Amino acid sequence: MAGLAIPGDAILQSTHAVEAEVPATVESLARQHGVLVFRIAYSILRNHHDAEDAAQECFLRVLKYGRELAHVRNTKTWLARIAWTVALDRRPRRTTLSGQQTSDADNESLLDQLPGHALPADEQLAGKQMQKILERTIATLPNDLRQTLELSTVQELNSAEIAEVLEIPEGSVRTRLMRARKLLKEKLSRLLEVKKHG
Amino acid sequence: MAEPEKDQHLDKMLDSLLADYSSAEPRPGFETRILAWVQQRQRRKLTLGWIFAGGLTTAGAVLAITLNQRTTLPEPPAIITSATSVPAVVRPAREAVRGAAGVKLRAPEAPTPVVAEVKQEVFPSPTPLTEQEKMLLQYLRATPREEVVAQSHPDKPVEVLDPNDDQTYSPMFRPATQQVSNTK
Repeated sequence: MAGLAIPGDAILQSTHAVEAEVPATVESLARQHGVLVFRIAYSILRNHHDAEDAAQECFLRVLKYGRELAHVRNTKTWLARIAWTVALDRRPRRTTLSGQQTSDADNESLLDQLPGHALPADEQLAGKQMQKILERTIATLPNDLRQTLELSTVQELNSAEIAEVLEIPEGSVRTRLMRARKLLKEKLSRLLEVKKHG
Repeated sequence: MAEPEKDQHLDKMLDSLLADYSSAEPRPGFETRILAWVQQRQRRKLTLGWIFAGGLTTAGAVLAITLNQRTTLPEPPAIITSATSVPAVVRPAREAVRGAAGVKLRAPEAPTPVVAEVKQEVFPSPTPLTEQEKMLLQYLRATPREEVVAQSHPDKPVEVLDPNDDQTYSPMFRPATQQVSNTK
């Protein structure tokens, strides 16, 4: 969803916020973009509680760097970038190769647990198990692809805004998304094949 | 299932899964919780800031007082009414001093101690108030300003007397004319 770019000084004016009244700005931003911040954090941390903590820390940073708002061109992407950085800081580190192998094995076991082996796979898509499989599959992607894909799943951000958050050209965002989707499809296809053939 | 169909099917599945991937909604009261938490942190920060500022001010004041006490000049010395311990310069005793040629030289005067002037720290030197000045000060403190102003009278203008005018100029103060010259 394309977001309306609101310059920082407009926010400051609209909230009558001067330097001493930064909390008014924070309040305005929290009401306007609170859900966006939460979803960005959730897309990375995959946990309600952690996402909320990250959102709190994000707004605390806004409070700390509130004076920079006057120079911010697009508050939405500025806030999104803060949320993204905070969430990345909170995400536990993972090991690349061993993590991928474990993830594939876990996914196969999760597929085995899916209810109704006789049912076609598309009827089982909405299930939480498939979401977990997707999470684990996304976790095996290379960092640059994974981060782009995670941000793209946040409805409030379009590709231009994702590019601004990641500080890369918009074309690179599209390329990364295509590559990420291709990899995901291959992995999911392989998993579903394994499940189908028992 | 044919390959293109399978691919299409996977695309749909992926779209569906990714759409739900970050569609989580925060729990009710999320904004309120965040704002309350931010305000709490802000208050704590302000309190800590005030405590820090207070501590800094106190430390600064203590430091300033300490430095001031070290660098304060000593009290100006009391008014010296007698000769101080400045060494006196003693001139040679009066006795006949004869030169090499046997000429009697003028005998120097008796030795007189020369007292060096002691410079005071403050000029003019502070002197204690006299009884009259103390009484005047007391009167001025006790009396309202308006009353003091009302009781004060301007000085009478000074009359300049004409020495040629006999009526105004008293003969008592007429300058005496010198009749005889004292010089020979």
